[in-house]
Amino acid sequence: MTSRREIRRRKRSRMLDHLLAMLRKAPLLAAILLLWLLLTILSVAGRRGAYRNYSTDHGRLPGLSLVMQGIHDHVMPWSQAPGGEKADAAKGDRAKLAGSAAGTGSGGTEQDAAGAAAPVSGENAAYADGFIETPGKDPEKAETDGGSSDDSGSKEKGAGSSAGQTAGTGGKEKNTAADKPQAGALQIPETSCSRVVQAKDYGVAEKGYLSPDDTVYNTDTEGLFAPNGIYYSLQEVEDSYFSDALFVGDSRTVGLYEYGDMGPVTSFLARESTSVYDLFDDEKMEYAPRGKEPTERTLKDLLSKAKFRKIYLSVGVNELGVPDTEDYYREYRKVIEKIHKLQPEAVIYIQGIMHVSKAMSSTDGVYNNTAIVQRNEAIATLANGRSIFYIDMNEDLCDENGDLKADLTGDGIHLKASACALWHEYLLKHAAVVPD
Amino acid sequence: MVNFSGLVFIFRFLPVFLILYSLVPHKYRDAVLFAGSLVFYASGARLFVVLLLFLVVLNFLFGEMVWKMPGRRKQLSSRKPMLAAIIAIDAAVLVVCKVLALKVRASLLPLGLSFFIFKMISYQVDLYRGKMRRRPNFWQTAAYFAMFPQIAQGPIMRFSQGWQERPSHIRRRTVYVERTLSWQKAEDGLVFFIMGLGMKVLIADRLGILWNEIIKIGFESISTPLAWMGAAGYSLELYYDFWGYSLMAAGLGLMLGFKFVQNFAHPYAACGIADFYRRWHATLGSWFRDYVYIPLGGSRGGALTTVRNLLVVWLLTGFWHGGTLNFLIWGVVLGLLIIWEKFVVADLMDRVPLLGHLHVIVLIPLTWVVFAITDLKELAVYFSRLFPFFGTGVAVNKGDFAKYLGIYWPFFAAAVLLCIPFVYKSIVWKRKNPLVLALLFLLFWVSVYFSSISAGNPFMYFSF
Repeated sequence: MTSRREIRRRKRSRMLDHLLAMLRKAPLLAAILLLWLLLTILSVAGRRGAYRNYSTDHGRLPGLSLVMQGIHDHVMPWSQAPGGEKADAAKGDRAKLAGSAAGTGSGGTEQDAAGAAAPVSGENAAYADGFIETPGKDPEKAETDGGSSDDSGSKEKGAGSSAGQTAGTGGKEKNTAADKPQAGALQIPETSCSRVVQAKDYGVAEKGYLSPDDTVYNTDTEGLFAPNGIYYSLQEVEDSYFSDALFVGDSRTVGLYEYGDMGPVTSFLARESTSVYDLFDDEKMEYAPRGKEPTERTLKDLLSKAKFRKIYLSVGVNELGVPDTEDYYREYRKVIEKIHKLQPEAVIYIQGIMHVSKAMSSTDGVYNNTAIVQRNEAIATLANGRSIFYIDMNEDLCDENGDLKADLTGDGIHLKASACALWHEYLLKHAAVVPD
Repeated sequence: MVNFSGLVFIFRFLPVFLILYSLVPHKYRDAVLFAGSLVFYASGARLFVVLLLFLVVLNFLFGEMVWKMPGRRKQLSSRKPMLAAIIAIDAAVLVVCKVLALKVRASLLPLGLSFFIFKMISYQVDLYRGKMRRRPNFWQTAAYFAMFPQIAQGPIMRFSQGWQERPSHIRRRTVYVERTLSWQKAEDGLVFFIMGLGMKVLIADRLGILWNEIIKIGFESISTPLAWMGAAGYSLELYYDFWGYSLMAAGLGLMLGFKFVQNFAHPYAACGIADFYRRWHATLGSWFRDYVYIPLGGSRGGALTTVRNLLVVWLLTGFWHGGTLNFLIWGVVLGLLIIWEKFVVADLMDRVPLLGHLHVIVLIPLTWVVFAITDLKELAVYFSRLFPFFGTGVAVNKGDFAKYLGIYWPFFAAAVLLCIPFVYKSIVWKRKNPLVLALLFLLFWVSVYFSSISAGNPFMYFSF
C-alpha cells in the first residue's frame, strides 16, 4: 500500500522527469520558454515604470510586445518613463491605436458630407502687385480693437469679401469655431493663404485620433503668428524662386525630390517616416543642397549653419496614428517657432497634408481624409499671411469628394512619380514674393 | 490570430492549444484539434465558420453513405452519382464564393476556402477509390478538413497522410499506429516553425516593401533595371512567404504528432518549368495530377490529348489562384511553357541542362509579374519597362536601381543563398548542433521583434 505522501512524491518525480526530458530533448524550446517567461515578467514589472506611457491594449497583445516596442523606442524595462518626452509616448500610443485600427471602421458615426465639397481658393493672377496693406500693423493696436473684431475684416482694403472666412475655418457647416468671434483676430485676406480643402467623411475615422469638432485654435494677436502687418498674396513664380528655398518633409517630399524635377533647382531635407515630432532633431534626415548629392543632417544643425529665405514644411501623414489633432497642432507650432528663431527672415510655408485616395479614406480608421482635413484646419490657423503661409495642393490633386485622384497614386498615400510634376506646378503657382 | 507570425498566435493560441492537446487522452485529440481549429478559424473568418461547419458535416455524411454502399471495390459505378453530387456541391461553393468575391466584395471569399474545398474533394475521391483502409470517424474527418495548421494556406495534405497511415499487424489484428507526441517532435517542429517564421518575417516581408515601393512610384516611372529587380524581388517574396508559411505549417503538424508534409523542394534549383512546379506548392500540383490530369487520361492518350489535359489543368490552376484575367493568362502561359518544354525542346534540355535552369531563373519571375498585377493595362506598362523597346517611361529616375539595391541587397543575398538546397539542408541536418540552436534561438527572437513592432499595423510596411 502506498501512502498519500508516496503518491505525491512519485508525481513530483514524474514531473521532474518530464522537465529533464524536455531540457535534454528540446533545449531550444526550453530556452525560448525561459526567455518568454523573463520578458513577460519584465513587461509586467515595467508597466508601472518604463512603459507607463504605453497604453497598449492589454487584452489584445501578449505582454512581451511591450518590451519589444520598448526596444524599438530605446526604452528599456528598467529605465524611467519618459515624462515630458512626447515623442516616445506618442510612439507608444501609436502602437496601441494602430493595433485597434484594423478591425474597426463601423465604429465611427456617419457624418453628413453634404456641403463639404472642396471650395477652391480664388484665382490669384490678378494680384501680381504683391501685397495688401492693412490697418492692423501694430500688434498692440490690434488688441485694443478686439471688442469689435467683426468689423476689422471689413476694414481691410480689397479683401472685404473674405471677412468671416479665415483660412483656418473652411468647414462652414461643421465647424462651430467659424461662428465664434475670435477675440482680437484679424482676418487674413483670401489671396494670402489657401483655403483648407475639404473632403467627404466616410465615417470610418477613429475618434481617438481626432480632437472634438468644436476645438478652437485661437489665432494670436501678437508675435510670430499674429495675422497683421503687410499681407502678401500668393502668386505665380518661376523655378528660380526656389533657389534659396528648403523643402522639409517626409517620404512625400522625398518623392518630390526624386521625381518632381526639383532637385536641380532647390534644396531638400527629408526622410521617410519622419513626423512633426522628430522633424527638428531627426538625425537621419537627408540633406540634398541644390543639385548635389544628399548627406545626413538634422534640421536644427542645418538651420544654424546655412541660410534659407523660404522653408516649406510638409509633414503630417506619419503621425496620423498619434492622438490627437490638438497635439499635432501644438507640436507644429513649436517647430515653426524653432525655425523662426534660427532663421527669422525666412518665409515659412505650411503645406497642407495631402489627402489620401478614396479606397484608403473610406476604409482606414487612421489614414483617412476626415483626420487629414481636421489637422489641416488646425495648422492653417498658424499662418499669418505675411511670413507664414498656408498652401493646400489638394486643390489641384483631389476630386469633387476631396479624395486624392486614383490615377495619381499607386498606393493611395503617395503621388506616383509621374504625378509629382503636379505638385511642382502647384508650388510655382502659389508663392509669396516677400521683399528682403 | 490566423497569421502564424503574429504574436497572438505564437504566444497565446499555440501554447494554450498545445497544452490542452497534450493533456487529453489519444482518443479525444482529434476532437480537440477540430475544436481548436474552429476557434482559430472563427478568429479570422468570423461567420464563415458556419459555412465551414456545414461543409464538414455534409462531406462527412456523404462519405458515410459512400462507405456503407455495398461492393466497395467492385461496383464503383453505383457510387459514381454520389461522388459526382458531392464534388459538384463542393466545387459550386468554391466557384460561387470566388465569383461573389470578384463581383461584389473581396471579403466574401471565406478564408482558406480554396484549400479546404480541395481537401474535401480529395477525401471524397479517395473514399470512392477505396483508398481508405478503415472507416474514418467524424472527428478524424472534421479535424482533417479544419486543422488549423493547414486551413488558411495549405498544404493540401491527403487524409491518409494524417490518419491511418501505418497499419501494423499484431497477433493477426490490424492496428493503426496513433499519432504520438514527444519532446523530440516538438523540438523538430519548433525548428521548422522558426525557419519558416524567419523566412516570412525577415525575408518575404522585407522584400514585400520593395514591391510596394514600385507600386508607389508607378510602373511607368521605374527604370528597366529596377523593373527586373522588382520582378526578382516579388518572385523571392512570394517564394519565402509561401515556403515560410508551409514550413511553419509543417512544423506545427510535427508538434501535433503528424508527419512532415513537404510542400516546397527547392523549386529554384529545378531544371525546367515542369520540374519547378513539381517542387513548388507540391501538394497542389499532385492534387491536380491525381484528381484532374490522370482522370482526364494524363499523357497516355497521345500528344493532342496530353496538350489538352495540360491546358485544362493549368487553366484550372490559374482560376484557383484568382478569378481575374491575369491569373488565367498566368495559368495558360505556364501550360504553354510546359508543353513547349515537353514537346519542342525536351532533347535540347537533356543535352544542355543550363537551358532548363535559364527557363526557371528568367521565365518564372516574368510569369510572377503576370501573377502579381491584376490590372492588364498596368501589366502591359510593367512589361514595357522590363523590355523598354516597347515604349519609354515617364519621369524615370535613373538612380532608382542604385538606391533600392543599396537598401535591399542583404535581403536579396539571404534569399538567393537559401535557394541553394545545400544551405537549407545543412541547417536541417545540423539542427542539434549547439551553434545552429543558438542561431535559431536568435532568429526566433529577432523575428518576433520585427513581427511585434509591426503588429497590427500594416503601415509599418510602408513608413511614409
